[in-house]
Amino acid sequence: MILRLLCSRFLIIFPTLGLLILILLLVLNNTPGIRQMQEQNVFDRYVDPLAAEAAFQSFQQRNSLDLPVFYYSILPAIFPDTLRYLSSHPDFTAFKKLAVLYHDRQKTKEVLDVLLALKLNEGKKAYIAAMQALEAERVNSAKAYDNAVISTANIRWQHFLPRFIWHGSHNQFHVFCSNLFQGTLGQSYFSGKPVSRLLAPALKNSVWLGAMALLISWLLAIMLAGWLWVNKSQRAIRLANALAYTGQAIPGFLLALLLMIIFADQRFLGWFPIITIGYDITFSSLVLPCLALVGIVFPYAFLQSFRAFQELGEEDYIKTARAKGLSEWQIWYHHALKNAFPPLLTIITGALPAMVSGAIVVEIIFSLPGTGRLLADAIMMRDYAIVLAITLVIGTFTLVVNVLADVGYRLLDPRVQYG
Amino acid sequence: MTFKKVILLSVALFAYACNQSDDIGGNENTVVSRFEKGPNILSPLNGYSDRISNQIISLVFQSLLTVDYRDGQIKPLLAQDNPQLIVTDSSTIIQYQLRPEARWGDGTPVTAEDVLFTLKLIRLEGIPNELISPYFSFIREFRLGESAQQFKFHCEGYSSGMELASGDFYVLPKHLLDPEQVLDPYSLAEISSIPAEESASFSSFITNYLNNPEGFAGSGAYTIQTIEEGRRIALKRKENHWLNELSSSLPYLASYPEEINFLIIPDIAAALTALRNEELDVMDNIPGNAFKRLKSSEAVQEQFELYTPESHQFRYIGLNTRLSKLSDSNTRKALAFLTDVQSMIDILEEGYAKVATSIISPDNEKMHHAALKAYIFNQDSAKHYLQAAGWSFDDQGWSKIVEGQKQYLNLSLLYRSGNNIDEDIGIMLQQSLRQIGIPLSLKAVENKLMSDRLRNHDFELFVRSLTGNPFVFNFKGILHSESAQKGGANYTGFSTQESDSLVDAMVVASEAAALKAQLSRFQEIMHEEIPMIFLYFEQHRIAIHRRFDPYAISGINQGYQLQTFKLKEE
Amino acid sequence: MGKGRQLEYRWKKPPGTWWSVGYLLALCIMSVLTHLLIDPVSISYNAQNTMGSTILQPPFSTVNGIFMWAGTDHLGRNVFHSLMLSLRTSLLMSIGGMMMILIIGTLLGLLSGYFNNKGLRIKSWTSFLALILFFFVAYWFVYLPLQMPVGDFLWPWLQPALIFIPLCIFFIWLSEKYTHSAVGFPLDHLILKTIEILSAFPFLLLILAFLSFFEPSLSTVMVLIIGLYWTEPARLVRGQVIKIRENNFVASGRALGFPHFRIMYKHILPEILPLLVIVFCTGVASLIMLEATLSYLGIGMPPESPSLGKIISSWRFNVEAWWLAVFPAILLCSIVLALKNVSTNIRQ
Repeated sequence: MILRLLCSRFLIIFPTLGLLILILLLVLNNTPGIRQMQEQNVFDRYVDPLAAEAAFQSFQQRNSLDLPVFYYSILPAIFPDTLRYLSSHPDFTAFKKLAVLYHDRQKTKEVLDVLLALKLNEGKKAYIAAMQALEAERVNSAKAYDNAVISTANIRWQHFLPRFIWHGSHNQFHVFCSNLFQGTLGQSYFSGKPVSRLLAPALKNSVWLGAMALLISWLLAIMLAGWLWVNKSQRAIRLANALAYTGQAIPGFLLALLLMIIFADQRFLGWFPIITIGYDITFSSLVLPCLALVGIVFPYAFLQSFRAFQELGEEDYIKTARAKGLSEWQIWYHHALKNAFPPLLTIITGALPAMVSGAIVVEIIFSLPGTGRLLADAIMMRDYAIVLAITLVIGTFTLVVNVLADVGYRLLDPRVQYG
Repeated sequence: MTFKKVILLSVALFAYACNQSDDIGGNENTVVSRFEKGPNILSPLNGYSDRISNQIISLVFQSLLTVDYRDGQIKPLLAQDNPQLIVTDSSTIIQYQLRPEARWGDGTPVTAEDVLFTLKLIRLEGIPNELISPYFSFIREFRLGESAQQFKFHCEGYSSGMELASGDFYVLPKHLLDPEQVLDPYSLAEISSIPAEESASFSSFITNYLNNPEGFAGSGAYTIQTIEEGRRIALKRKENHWLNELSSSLPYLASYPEEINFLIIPDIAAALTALRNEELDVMDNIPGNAFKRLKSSEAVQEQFELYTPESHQFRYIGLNTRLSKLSDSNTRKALAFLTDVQSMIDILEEGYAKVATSIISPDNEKMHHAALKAYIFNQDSAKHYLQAAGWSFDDQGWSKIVEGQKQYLNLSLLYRSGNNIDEDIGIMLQQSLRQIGIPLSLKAVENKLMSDRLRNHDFELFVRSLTGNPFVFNFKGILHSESAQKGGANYTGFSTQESDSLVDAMVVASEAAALKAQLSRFQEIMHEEIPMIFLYFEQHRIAIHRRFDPYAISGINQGYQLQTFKLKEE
Repeated sequence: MGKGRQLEYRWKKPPGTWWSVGYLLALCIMSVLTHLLIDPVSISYNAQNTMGSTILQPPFSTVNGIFMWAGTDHLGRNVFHSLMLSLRTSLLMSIGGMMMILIIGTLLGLLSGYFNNKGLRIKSWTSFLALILFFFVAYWFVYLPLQMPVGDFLWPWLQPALIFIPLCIFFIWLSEKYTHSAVGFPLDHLILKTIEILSAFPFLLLILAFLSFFEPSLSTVMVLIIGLYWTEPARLVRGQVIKIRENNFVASGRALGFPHFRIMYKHILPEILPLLVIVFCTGVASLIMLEATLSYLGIGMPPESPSLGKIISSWRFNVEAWWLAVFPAILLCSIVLALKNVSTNIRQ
C-alpha cells in the first residue's frame, strides 16, 4: 500500500521537473543582459564591433543558445521562423517591425535568410558584412514604419493567427534533458566548467549548515514549546511569544552581523576567526553561521510548535493519561508529542527551500561558499547554466522531500488513512 | 530523555569548537589577501576580462610585456626588450625577441611557437575564449624569425595602443596543450574557419585543461596549490624559477612570498573585522569612511601601513545628448553647475578623491589639461545657462516650447543597484536639482541590465565609473560617432566633427608633443560640450601589513603587486 | 486539574489591546502626515560648508539648530524623519502585502481543501469550451502583444476577438442550459500542483533574479511577493480545512442542505482563525525582514520609497553608528508586537 503510494507520488515528480526546466529555459531565454559579456567599466582599448559580434555568435553556438527552446514554437503568422536567430540583437524590435512592414512572411524570410545562409556557410565575417549591408535597409524601413508611411490597411487579421513550427530534437530542452540523462548538469557558459563541479562543494556546505541549523532550531523549539505546555505559566508563555514575534522581525543579516562582531572581532570576544583557513569546512567554522541561522529559523519554529501543542487542547487521551497519574512530562512525551508532530512535519518540510535562500545572508557574512551565493553570483554574471542546475537541484530536493513528508504523515498519523 | 541528550551533545560540541583555535598566520612569508567575490573564470583565456581572475592568473602565466608599478612604464617580461614597431601606410609590423632564459615549469624553453599557438587558441572556436578573442583581432599574420625566440606580428593599420596590446596576453605552453600538433597545419588566418566538429575532441581537451587550474604549468613564479571554491585560493612559489637570477637586475620581476593566499570575503564588515584581527595582510577597495576610521585607530596604524595612491578610475554622470531636453550644451552645463562634486568627495569618499575636470586624471601631469576649471556648484550660473538654453521658470518648473509643445525639464537617473556610492551621488544630485526646481527621479538597475539600456539609448542620465590607464588614449570606443549607434559604447551620443577627427588623430599619434596638443584640445571640447559630467578620480585605499615592504604602490590596476612584497629585515 | 484549561489564552480582558490599536493607528496617521509635512528628499547638509559637522551625529544632539531625536545618517539626513517617512513603505508592503497574500491564500486553500477534486462539478462541454476560451485569451491578449506592437493596427487585431469571444460565451451558456453530463473539477490537483511548482523555487532567489532583470520599485516588489507567498497560507489552510471537514458539524451542515458558502464562512473560517492570526503576524514580520534582506543584497527599493530595512542595512557601512540599527529595529519589533496583540484579540 505504502509502496504503491510512494511509487505513484514519485512518478509524478518527473513531469513536474520537466515543466520546471521548460519554464526556466523560457524565462532565461527572454531575460536581458546576456549580450553584455565584457566588463563595461574599462576603456583601455578599442574593440572592433564586428569582432565583438563574432565572439558573441560563437559564444552562443558553443553553449547551444542559438537553438530554439522547445520542440515547437508558436509564432504570429506574419513572422518568419528564422527571426529568433536575431533575438538577442539590439535591434530585434526593429527587425520585427520590418516583418510587419513587409506584412509578408516570405519576403521577410528571404531578407533574414540572406543573413542566416551567410552565417551558416561562409563564416562569421561574411555574415557580419551582410548585417551591415542590411543595416541601411533596416534603418530606412524602420523610419518608414515610424512615420507611418505604410498603410495598415493591408494588414489583415490572418497575419496574427498562430503558426506552429516544429524544430525536432535540435532544441535547448532536449539538449539539457539528454545531458541530464547522461548524468551531467551542463557547463558554465563562460568557463566551460562542468556545473556539477561548482555545485557539489557549495551544496555540501549548504546542506551541512541547513541540516544542523534546522535540527537544532526545531529541537529547541519543540522542547521550549513542550516546557511551556507542561509548565503552563501564563507569564512565560506571554514572554516567549512576544520574544518569538520580535525575533521574527529582526532581519537575518542584522543578527548575523551582530554575532560576527561579538564573537569574531578581537576587540570583543574574538573566539572565532572570521574565515578559517581550514583545508576543509571544519566544525568550528560552522558554529557561528549555524548559530545565526538558528536565530533566524527558531522564532518561526517555536511559534508553529507552540500552536501545534495548543491546538491539542484537552482531548480525551490526555484526560485519561492524567487520570492514570502520569506526570505532565510523561503525558507530553508519550501522548501530546505523538499527536502534534505529524502536522509539524509538513511545516518543517515546507520551510526547507526557504532554508536554502535564508542561508544566503549567512553565507555572505560568514564567507561560507554555499548554493545561495553561487546562485546569486551566477544571476549577476548571467551564467544561466548554473542558475538552471541549482534551481533544478533545489526543486528536485523540495519535491522529493514533499513526497516523503506526505507519506511520513500517513505513516505517523493513524487517522489519515483515506483522502 | 533523548532530547536532553541531544542538547547536552550540542553544548559539548559547541564547547569543543570554541576551544579549537585556528592557526591563521602560518608562515611568516605568506601573504593573505582578500577578494570580495570569487574569480569567476580562472582561465588564462576567458579570465582576461575578469579583474579578479587576472590578478591570480598573472602569477601563474606570463605575458610578453608588463608594467613596472614603480615608474609606470611598459617593460618586457617574457620578451627580451620592448618590441620594435615598423609602421607603413597600411600596416604595422611588431617585432619581438623572447628572453632566452625563459622556461616553462618543466624546464622547456619558451619559444615563438608557443606564442603562435596561444594566438591560435585565442581564435579557435568551440573553446571558452570569447571574452578575449575580440581584443586580438588586429593581429593579421604571424611570422617566425630567424631563431626560435624571434617572431613578428603583422597588423592592419596603426594605433598607438598596439605596442602594449600586442604583448598583453598570457603565453601558454604548446608542448603540454598540443603535443600531437593538431593546430599546426592551420595558419593563424585559417584557424577561425575550422568547422567545430573537426576540432571537437581537441576543444574538449583544451576546455578540460582550462578548468583544472591546479594543473596549470605556466612560466610564472607561482603554481596554484589549492582551490576551495568560493572560499580560498592558495598559490605556492616554485623552487627554482627562471627569473630568480634575473630579478636582482630587474626588481619589477621579483617574487618573494612563498605562499599567496586569496581569501574570498564578500561582506565588507566581515573583511574589515578580519583586517583588524590581522587575519588579512592586504586589503584594497576599502570604503572611505572605514578607511578614515582605520587611520584614526592606533592599533591598526601599528600593524598596517595605509596607502592612498591616485587611481585612474573616475565616476561620472553620463547625459543622453540625443534627447531634445539635453541636446543643448547649455542645459548640460547648467546640470554641471548643479553637481556639488566637492561635497560628494567630502561626504561619500571622506576626501580620498580628486575633483575631475576631464577624462584624464589630474595626476597625469603630462597629459592633463591643467587650465580647465572645474564646474563649481553655483545655482546662479546654472539658472543663467538654463535661460540661455531657452528654458523659462514658472510655478510648475522649467519649461520651453519644443516643436509647438511645452516641454518640462524633468530628468531620471540610472544607477547600479547595490552600489551605495552611486545611489548617494544620485540623492545628492536630486537634492541640489530640486532646489532650483528640476525634479529628478532615481532608478536602480542591475549592472548588466543597465549596460543593456545604455547600449539601447534607453536612459536620460546615469552614474557610472570608468577606468582608464596612463598609456593609451584611444577614445574611439566611447566618444566617437562610429560607436554612437545602438549597441555601441558611446552611450552619450557625443560627437562633433572636430572631436571625431581628434580622436582619429590620437589613435595614430606617435609623437608625444602632437598627442598632447590633440588631447588638450579634445579635453577642451569635452569641457565645453559636457556629454559627461566628470565627478572625481578616486584614490585607491590599501592597507598592507607592516612586516612587508611592497616594491611599489601606484595607481595602476589594483595598486600593488603581491609577488613583490618582501619581508622587512628586523 | 484545570491546569490544562489555562493554556487557552484568557484574553477576555486583554491588558494592552487598546494601547496597541492606538499605537498602530497613530503610526498609520503619522505615516500619512509625515508625507505631507516632511520633504521626502530633503537632506539637512548644507551644500556650501559640510565637512562632517552634520553627518553621522549621534541621537539627542543638535545639528544646525535642529534637535535630532535619532541622530543623522551618512548623508546628514535626520534619521527620525527617515523613520517616519519609511513607515509608509514598510507598512504598505508588509501589512498591505500580507493582507492580499492572506486573502488569496485563504481563498484558494479553503476551496481546494473543501471541494477536493470531486466536490465541484462542472458540465463536460462547459469545461471544454472554457479551456478553448482560456487558450485564445492567453494567446491573443498576452502572448501576441508581447511579440509585436499590435496597438498600431488595432482594428484587424480586434476583429477575431470580437467575433470569437462572444461566440464562445454563447456556447458555454448553451452547454450550461442543455447538456447534462458533468465531471468533477480537479480543483485540488490544480492548486496543489501550482503550489508545488512555485514552492520548488527558493523564493528569495526568485525575487533576486526578478529584480535583477527588472527595475525594482514598490509595486514590482509587492506584485512579486504576493505572487509568490500565497502558497504558504494556502497550504496551511488546506491542511486545516481537510482536518475540519471530517468533523461532524460540516457533514451535518451539508445534510441540512446549507449552501457551501455558508458552511465555509460560518463553520470552517472561525476554526482556522487562530492559524490565520499566526500566519498574518509571522508573515508581516517576515515581509519586513525580507525587504531588509533585499536592501542588504543590494536590490532594495529606490530612494523614492525609503524603508526601515534600508536604514538598517545602511548600518553595516557605519558599524559605529548604532542608532542606524537600533531605532528602526525597535520600531519594527514594536509594530509586530502591537499587531500580534491586536490580531490575537480579533478572534475573541
